[in-house]
Amino acid sequence: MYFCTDLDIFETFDKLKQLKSYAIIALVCACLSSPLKVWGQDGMTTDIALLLKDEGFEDIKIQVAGDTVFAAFENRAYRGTFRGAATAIKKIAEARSDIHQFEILLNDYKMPQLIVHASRRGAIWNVRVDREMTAAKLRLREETAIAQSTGKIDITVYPMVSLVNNKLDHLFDYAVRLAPAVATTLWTGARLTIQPVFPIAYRLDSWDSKRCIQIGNANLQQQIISNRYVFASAAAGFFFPSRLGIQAQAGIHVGRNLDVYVNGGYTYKANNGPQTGFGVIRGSRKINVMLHADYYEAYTKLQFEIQAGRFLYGDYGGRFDITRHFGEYAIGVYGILTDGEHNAGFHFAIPFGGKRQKRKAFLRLRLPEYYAMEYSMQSNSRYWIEDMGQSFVTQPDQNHAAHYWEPRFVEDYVSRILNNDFQ
Amino acid sequence: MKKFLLSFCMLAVASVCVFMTSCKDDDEEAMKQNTTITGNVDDIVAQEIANGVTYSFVVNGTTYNSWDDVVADFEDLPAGTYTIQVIMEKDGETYEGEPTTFTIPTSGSVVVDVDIPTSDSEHSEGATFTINKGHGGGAAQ
Repeated sequence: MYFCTDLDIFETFDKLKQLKSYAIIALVCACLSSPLKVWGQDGMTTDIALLLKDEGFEDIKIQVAGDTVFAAFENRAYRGTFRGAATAIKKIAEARSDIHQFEILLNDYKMPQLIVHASRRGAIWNVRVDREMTAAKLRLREETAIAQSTGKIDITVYPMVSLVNNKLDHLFDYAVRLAPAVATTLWTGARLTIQPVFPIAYRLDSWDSKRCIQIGNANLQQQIISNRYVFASAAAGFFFPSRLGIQAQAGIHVGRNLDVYVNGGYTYKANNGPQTGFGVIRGSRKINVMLHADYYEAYTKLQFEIQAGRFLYGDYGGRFDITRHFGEYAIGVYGILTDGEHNAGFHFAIPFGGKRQKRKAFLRLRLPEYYAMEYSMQSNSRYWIEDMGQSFVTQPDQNHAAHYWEPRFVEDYVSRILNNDFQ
Repeated sequence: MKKFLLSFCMLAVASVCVFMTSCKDDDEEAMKQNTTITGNVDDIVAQEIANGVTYSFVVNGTTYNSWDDVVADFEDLPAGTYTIQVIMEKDGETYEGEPTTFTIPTSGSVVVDVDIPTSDSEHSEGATFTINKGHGGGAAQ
């Protein structure tokens, strides 16, 4: 038999006390370690999200894993497609020196368009932009977006100036109009736009519809898909100028710099002003289909576009554009051959509003990011009179600079901004 | 500064293109050379003639036996107010369209709705012609 001595009892008691201390420490550690870890990640995530929110970004999703931040956001504050990404990366890098790798999804109307992979080695930033977005999308799928853009309204006041030089008794017809576009994002990929056009000053023929208040664009556009391989969108409603119907576009990203797509419309000519009334003009149905190829040459920063098919008013032909991108400026020339007629000219899109127009409230009044204009050398021939080589636009900001989601273009300018080579 | 200059240059180029190609040429000969008639009247008339009818066109009391003759004369007509009536002859019967009054502008274009009697004893729908007096100098918009 074994009897405990007093010494044994004391030793056992000490061991128990020791064990109890360990157990308490272990228990406290067990209880706190997990929340501490979660709190640490969440805190970092929240910090970054709030930082981006302060900068004016919307629909922000953040996840931090080690020294990598995964982010997705909508840029409704900074002009263009690259300035927002560069600013976000800069801000995060300044605030969090422990983050070295950035995976940034760039959304347009809540739909991811491109991903920016950026990392810093010393003072040098390495940037790559592509459409390999699947992994980042999956990571951020469960995250809750903050600063939702849904339902927020932008009123963008577009000036419209037209000069037409084809009269014998005076130098040119002119029209100055204002077209405030009321636009909002309804859900992922959906953009609702209503853009009446108000004449301010003009010298025009008595029948010219530009003398009247008109509905320019009043349509719902839905981006259906946008991934590494394909993209598609559709729109329905009033299109500018004076068309009512549906429009669709679908294409493939053949390479990193080359897109091939088909764009078609089924529209009627529409009376769309108080003077002319509202409604469809009987017998004015038109089906237009154009096949496009769009290539961006990164070294020269030249964008080549070729399109062929049936123009809006039924003439068959093609158009070729060469556009040089100077950062946010885009200047190009074009030529059109259609049904035996020809036209040529140039176009440009120049920055108009400020670099940053932050949306501070539910409603924002703003200037457009770019002012675009196109010069046509034809203004009186059969080409002009019979509306040849024409198309319609579904959005007021359809030009060669806004929404230009070209990976190499964005990559170049994000890299230049981060490396202080571009303001 | 660089951007301002770039913007300024682009706007200047656009303005120059418009103004350099412009001309104010209001003499009579230039107006004749710069008048064009377009529209669907010739198509409708040609289609009906194929059905065995004949047409004549009365413009301010002058009768023309073909649309081409009307067009040729329009190019010489000075600005002013005119009336056009289309008359169809079928199997010895005469059918008169409604007269239309219109104005030829000094410069610019006018769209004229014209009533054309057709071989099925109905009247044409949407027959129009456009008289355009002008020159091609370019457009920026």
